[in-house]
Amino acid sequence: MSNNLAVDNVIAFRRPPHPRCWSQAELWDMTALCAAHTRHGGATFWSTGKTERGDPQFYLLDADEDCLLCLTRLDRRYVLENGFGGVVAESTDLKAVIEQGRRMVAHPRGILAFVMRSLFVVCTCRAILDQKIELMMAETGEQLARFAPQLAALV
Amino acid sequence: MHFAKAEPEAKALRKQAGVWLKQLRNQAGLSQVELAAQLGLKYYTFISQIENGFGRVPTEAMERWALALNEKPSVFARKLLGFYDPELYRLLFEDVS
Repeated sequence: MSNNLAVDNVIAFRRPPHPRCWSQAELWDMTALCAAHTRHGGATFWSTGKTERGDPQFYLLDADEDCLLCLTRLDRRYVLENGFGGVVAESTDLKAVIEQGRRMVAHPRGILAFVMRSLFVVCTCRAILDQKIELMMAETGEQLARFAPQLAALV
Repeated sequence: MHFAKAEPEAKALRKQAGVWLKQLRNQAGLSQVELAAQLGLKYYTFISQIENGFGRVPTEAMERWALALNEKPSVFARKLLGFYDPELYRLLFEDVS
């Protein structure tokens, strides 16, 4: 009886289903991915479609209209796949997924700049560390020179 | 000489391949989700991508696809080659003499 009472008093708040098509905001975000690939990745067209279950898909296509990337929204999860079905990124955050997709088309010059920047940072850190270590060693030497005679006297 | 395929034709053939694959899947009584599970795919979205005519069945996966769709792998691959590379298909399988 208590079970029935509990069931009677429960009001099911159902999550409203996500719309079965892309929203304006989502399309706006996806154009960023499209722009990045158009500049560097060879994307020429984009198109939209749906899965059998009605989940919306966004295709990024090359000149032959072959799929480069496919973004699908499965309920509240975004899945980004390459043209061979490999999952590139998946998240409930569309922007994070798009960022992953954008990174895929980092221009060779961009990669070179990134490598150069990384090398510069590593070299700088190493130089700073070397200086610090040298300073510490010098200080330790000085202190050793100061305390050694006193220690010797004690012995 | 121009060897490139006419783009609209390639696109149309890929769409036809997608329709054919969908027919095979329906004949096998499989949903996109079930087919993806049989192929070991994490998501079924790739099946949709191919059936909508935007992707191709990868060569290395053709045998698995064929078996999942109750088709003989050689026949399946040959048919797909006809869609994906009609010129090569013509050279290999049609008498050009």
